[in-house]
Amino acid sequence: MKKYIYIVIFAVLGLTLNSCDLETSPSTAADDTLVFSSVENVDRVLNGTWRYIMETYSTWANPGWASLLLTSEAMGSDAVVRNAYGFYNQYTFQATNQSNNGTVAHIWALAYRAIDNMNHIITKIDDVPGDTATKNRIKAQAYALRGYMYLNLGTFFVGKYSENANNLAVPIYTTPTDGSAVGNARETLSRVMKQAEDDLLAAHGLIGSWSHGTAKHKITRNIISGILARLYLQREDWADAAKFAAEAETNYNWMPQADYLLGFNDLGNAEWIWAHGQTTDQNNIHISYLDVTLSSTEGYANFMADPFFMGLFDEDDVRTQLFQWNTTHFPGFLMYKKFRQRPNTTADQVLMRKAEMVLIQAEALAGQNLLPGAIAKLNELRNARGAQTPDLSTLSQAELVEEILIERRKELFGEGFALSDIKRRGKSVVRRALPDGMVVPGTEILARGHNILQFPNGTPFVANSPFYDFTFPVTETDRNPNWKN
Amino acid sequence: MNKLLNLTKLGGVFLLFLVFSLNVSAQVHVRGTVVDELGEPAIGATIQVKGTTHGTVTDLDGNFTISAPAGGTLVVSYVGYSMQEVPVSTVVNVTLRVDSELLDEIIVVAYGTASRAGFTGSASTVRSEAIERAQVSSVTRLLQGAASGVQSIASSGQPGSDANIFIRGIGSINASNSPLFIVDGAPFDGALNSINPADIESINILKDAASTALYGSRAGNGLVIITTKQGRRNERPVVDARFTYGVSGRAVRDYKQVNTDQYFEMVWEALRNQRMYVGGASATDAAQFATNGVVSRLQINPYGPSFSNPVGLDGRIVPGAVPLWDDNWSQAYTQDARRMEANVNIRGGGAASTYFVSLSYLDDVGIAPMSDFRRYSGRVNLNNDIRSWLRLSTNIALTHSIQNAPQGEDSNLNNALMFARLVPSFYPVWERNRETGALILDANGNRIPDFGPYRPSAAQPGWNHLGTASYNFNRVMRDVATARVALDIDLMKGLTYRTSVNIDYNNRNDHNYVNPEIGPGSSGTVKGSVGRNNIRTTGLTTNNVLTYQPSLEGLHSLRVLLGQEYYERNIVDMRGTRSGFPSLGFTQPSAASQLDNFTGIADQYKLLSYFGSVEYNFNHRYYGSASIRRDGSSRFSPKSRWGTFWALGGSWRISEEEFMQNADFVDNLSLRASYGGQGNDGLNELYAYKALFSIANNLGESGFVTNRMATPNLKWETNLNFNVGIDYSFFNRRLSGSIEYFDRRSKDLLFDVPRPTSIGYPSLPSNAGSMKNYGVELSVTGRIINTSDWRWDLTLNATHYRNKITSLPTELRNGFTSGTKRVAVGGSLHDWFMVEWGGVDPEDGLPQWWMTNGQGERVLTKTYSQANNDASKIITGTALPGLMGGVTSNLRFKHFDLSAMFAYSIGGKLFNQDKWQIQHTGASVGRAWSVEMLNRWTPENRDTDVPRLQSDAFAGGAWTNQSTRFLVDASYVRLKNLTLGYNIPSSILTPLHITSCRVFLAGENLFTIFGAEGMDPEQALNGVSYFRYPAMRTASVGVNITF
Repeated sequence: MKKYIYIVIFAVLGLTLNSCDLETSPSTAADDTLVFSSVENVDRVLNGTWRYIMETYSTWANPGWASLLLTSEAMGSDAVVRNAYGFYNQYTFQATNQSNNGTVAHIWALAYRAIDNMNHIITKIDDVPGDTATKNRIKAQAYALRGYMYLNLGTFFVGKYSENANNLAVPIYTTPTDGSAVGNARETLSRVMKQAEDDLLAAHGLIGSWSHGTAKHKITRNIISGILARLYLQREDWADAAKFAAEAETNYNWMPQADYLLGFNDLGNAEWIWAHGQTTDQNNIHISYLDVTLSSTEGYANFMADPFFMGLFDEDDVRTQLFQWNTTHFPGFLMYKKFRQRPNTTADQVLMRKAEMVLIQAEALAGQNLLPGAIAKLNELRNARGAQTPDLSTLSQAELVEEILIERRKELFGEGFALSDIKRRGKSVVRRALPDGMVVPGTEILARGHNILQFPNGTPFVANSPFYDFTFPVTETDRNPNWKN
Repeated sequence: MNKLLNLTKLGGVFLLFLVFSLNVSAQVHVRGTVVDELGEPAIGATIQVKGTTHGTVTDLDGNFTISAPAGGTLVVSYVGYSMQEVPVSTVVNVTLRVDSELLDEIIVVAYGTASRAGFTGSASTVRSEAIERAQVSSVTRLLQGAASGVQSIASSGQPGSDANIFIRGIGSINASNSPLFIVDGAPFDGALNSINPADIESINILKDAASTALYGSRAGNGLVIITTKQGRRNERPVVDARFTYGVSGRAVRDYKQVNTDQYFEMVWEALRNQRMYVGGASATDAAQFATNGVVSRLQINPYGPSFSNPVGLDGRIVPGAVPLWDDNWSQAYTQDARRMEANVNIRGGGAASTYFVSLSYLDDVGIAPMSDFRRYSGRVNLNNDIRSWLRLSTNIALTHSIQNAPQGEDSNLNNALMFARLVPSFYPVWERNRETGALILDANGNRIPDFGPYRPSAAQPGWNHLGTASYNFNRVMRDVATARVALDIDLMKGLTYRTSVNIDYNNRNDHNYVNPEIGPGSSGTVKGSVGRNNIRTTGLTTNNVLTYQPSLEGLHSLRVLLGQEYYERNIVDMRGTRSGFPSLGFTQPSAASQLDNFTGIADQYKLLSYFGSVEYNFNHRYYGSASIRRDGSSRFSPKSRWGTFWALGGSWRISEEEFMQNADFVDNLSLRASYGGQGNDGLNELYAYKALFSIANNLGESGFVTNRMATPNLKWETNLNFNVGIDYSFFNRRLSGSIEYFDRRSKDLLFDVPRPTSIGYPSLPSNAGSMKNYGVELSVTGRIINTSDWRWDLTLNATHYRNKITSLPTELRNGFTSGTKRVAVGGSLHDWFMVEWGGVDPEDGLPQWWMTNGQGERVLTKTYSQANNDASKIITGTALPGLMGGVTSNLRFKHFDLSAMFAYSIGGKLFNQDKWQIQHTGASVGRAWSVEMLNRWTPENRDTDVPRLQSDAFAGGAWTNQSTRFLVDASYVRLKNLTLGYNIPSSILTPLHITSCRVFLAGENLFTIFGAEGMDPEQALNGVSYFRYPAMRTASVGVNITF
């Protein structure tokens, strides 16, 4: 008998330690049904998408959405990228020219991940309980971010709009994908830009007067207007560009001149319309490439300035104060100390400023041949920077446009417009070698300027070159049965 | 109950009475000695009076005494030898005979043990004798070359790091390829490096369906069954103590670098070439420019101020200029490494219980600054017969380890051994007087690390690990507790019930610290940082198993097993980092001012299983086995989480047949075959069916972002294994071994089927595609010499397998590129796919690659990006070896023994990207240069595969861009271990009351034959180097005492 009691005890013990419930759930993710159960949670998809696009790395050289902005900057005329880790291959026009390049694939993946998330919001929010005003605001923000993504895809993967409108661009998705999705076909550039325009206009109509406070990444009406202004600028629809740019900068003031020297790291800046913040636990290292005051032990410090670029500035201009020759860590390079990280190694990422909107107005007015208005807008910026305002009234329309484009380079250095401006204006990258034997003033250190002076195939830089267009990632073209070249 | 108790009591009294009565009748006092075939005393042989439980064991000289009834019989038994019966007399001397039938070899298999003879499955065994010879800190490192069918790759020489084990090829593309480790009867969840190799009695590697199917879904990649030592019944206490002490260094010398004179001349040449070939200057102007520019380019002049331009216009070092110092960074960074190990165990047993208790200490110091591994471990293994029908076995092990593991791979600058390779010897390691080259000493007379803030960026200014190593650390503290408790209950004759509870507790606590005052942590305003991680993993396995083994009439034998098992793993992980320390001396987060990050997660995995097996044999000639297991995994959706796995096996012991009885030279010959399906659910994700949004909080607010699509149909991978083998033993076991063929087909591969990224996801987890691994294994052991003084055993094992993808998801039917590999039907998972190197253009010294142009022609290009596309790349060989295995030699001469184990791998290619860093063409100013660069293109040296030097990068792309140029033959032979031992004769030891004492010299990785200079051949299965901590060579002395 005792034996059987033993057996029963141990068998019961053995079996009670078993659980027949095989259900488990993650601590780092939520079921989709929970996410679309309340407007508050749907709103969080916007916020989570921002986190995703700003903070996702594929390597350290692909720091979130800043990868695109820095790539655009590296492929222009004014930044001299040191041959160090990150963005040098963009500078040499080799990275974006390769279908298996990680940066292009990363940008592509970030954009479409954001689009899919926005599609979830746009198609599902109507069935979620909550008040209409909140739903409209969320939906508008989703439309706006989707529109922004299509605008950027259309900008960087295809050439100048007016010459490529009917060429195939990128696929469009307006509903969330599931396991059955195989990939949509490419649409024409005009169709993609129309999608972006429709999204942004829908957002503009729905957003209402809503303030984002210090959460400057959250999309407001001003931001939507600003993105629309960029879109119309690209399409050379000057009247709409001017109108929306003016609307975008409403209520924003010029920063004091001294603030221009503070390191471009604080979204509290009066001119900043759109920006994504950083905290010590969210500190994507984008700034490390731009902060040339760092030594290579502290950061990457890759983006130096072309000494010829310095020649575009006058001595009264507050921005001139940012130039400094390096004689220690990177001897011979010219630093442009616009971007510096905060002591805690963070820096907010600027996405849109009043200055850009003023320059869009200037360019758009000039585009409509309204030259005095354009000059006034240009001078508004120059005055704000303490720069000289020479008489421009004698310039032709083309000359004035050129003047404005140069001002864009000077004002927006490092903010991601270098390549897109070259493309949309059908211009060429211009990089010149420094004069023989040029040294850093007061030293014997040889000055360092551009070291890549032609395309990788040995041909000179020209306008409308295919080297300016990102090559579609092989992770798309190989896998998408509907893809056509 | 009372009745039973009374019966037991009564039985006991009766027995006592019986023994007593026998004792008084006619007892003989027997003295005797037991020796083996060579006349060596057999220690611990059992002598039992036949028909009683009365017995004894032999002492250290093989002697015994026992009282036995006159006219009775003594039964003498000893492991590995035939049992003998001898009549009782006053003096009994027994010479043991090796059991030629191998019937006694018992191997540990899934849920029990099996006799090797007639075993239908495929198993390789590594025994404690072989384990003791290796000086490794992780059990995973014991298997290289030691068993057929096993590929062991130790990528890192970091003390305490594990090797990766692959059994019979690669079973999966995206799910796990690791075998299941089972320790003392239950799956092991502790860190593998927490197991003390000295505690291991045997490691059995089970490779085919018949031997693994009882573990169902967990056995798809094979099983590694580790069994720890136990005491023996009726054994008096034996203390076994073993100490080793050794010194370690690199197993392979690092890449040779150019010397300072050569370096300066090459920098001159790079400057001259740039000026001349790219800038179009005249040779004279370019030479002048280069002569003037060398020192300012390198930011240092090791030739002293008297030679302001040490390189003359002819490109040679000017006469009289001599470097004032030459600091080899790799040598300076290689610390004196040592390895110390102490093991003590006590074992013994009574009539109803056994015990094994061990304590061990290991201190393994690595070659990289501040890398080491210390392990303290203890184990208690107890077996008790609580009742005649109730047995309790308890195995408890505790391990505490501390591993200082600075970055040991990657191009991250914290990787000290990689870093040391990058800095040429003319940058001082220690601060020096630039005029005399003399070392500058601090107030205490100590050398001062030179952090080289002046160094150009490619020579990593601001870093000197020797300055920071004693302050900064990456420490892993582990506590592992393992409990195996099992009860065996005899329910009735032949029917046993076993229940066990098995718990593995694994706590890993990381402490990563960067000091605020010295080195990189001191830059910026927030100085120094600390990260603390704690990862707690518990594994719980409970099972209930019924075994029925009836005594059948005639020649039939049957064993039936039925069981149920539940497994649960819980992981809790939390981690935080802070930065900003006030000063040295504080290393904990409490002293750091800025919170950088804090997060934590918890995960759970559960598996519920039912299983059964039947084994049958007829007359020990014909064997059959069948097993089945049904598993439910929490990883998959309720509708697809249950899977059924099975196996059938059979074997035929040909040597037992009548017609073989005349073939005297044959000891054993058997043929076996098995077939069956096992599973693999080893995906990275634990919730592989739900549609999920990741929690992605942003700037203090909650956030969600898409994470995965719903995959309700996702299920197990299945491995269908076919195995056929022959085991043989001839000439009194002088020649034995086995030959096997296997065909392992994986289907329904858990495949992240790539999707066009525009859908918002890079891939969709699916069951798609299939792959097979097939090959042959061979092992042969010969006792080449066998005399009373000499014995030489030689064992060779060899494995050849091929990995072949047999189908891919329809989306990928044309194959796809994965890093350096092309995955396509008909090829292997590790086929190299890269840009084809086109050599150096003899005209201008520029690198070239082959591209396929628009017309489909192969043409050379000097623009890398034109060749870097799938259309231009070529498939060129595989990373997988063609043949691998080991050779073991054990030689004994009287009291000396010499054993050696070689591991070899033949065929396959490695991709050496480590060396790129020191193969730049001059643009990476101040970065060290490999001697290979001496063979650079010059107008005089046009026929070379190293391009010209120039101070700026080639416009068409660096020659070190990924190409076939950097593939090297992966074949190697390595002397894994070599041991020379001497057993001190018992004539010396006996007066000291010592049973045996062996002193030995042991070496690990003593030499390596490998084609690629400076590289360690042990990299990774995929063949890609990754700036890894190289393997260590260790030479030790040791002593092993038993008393």
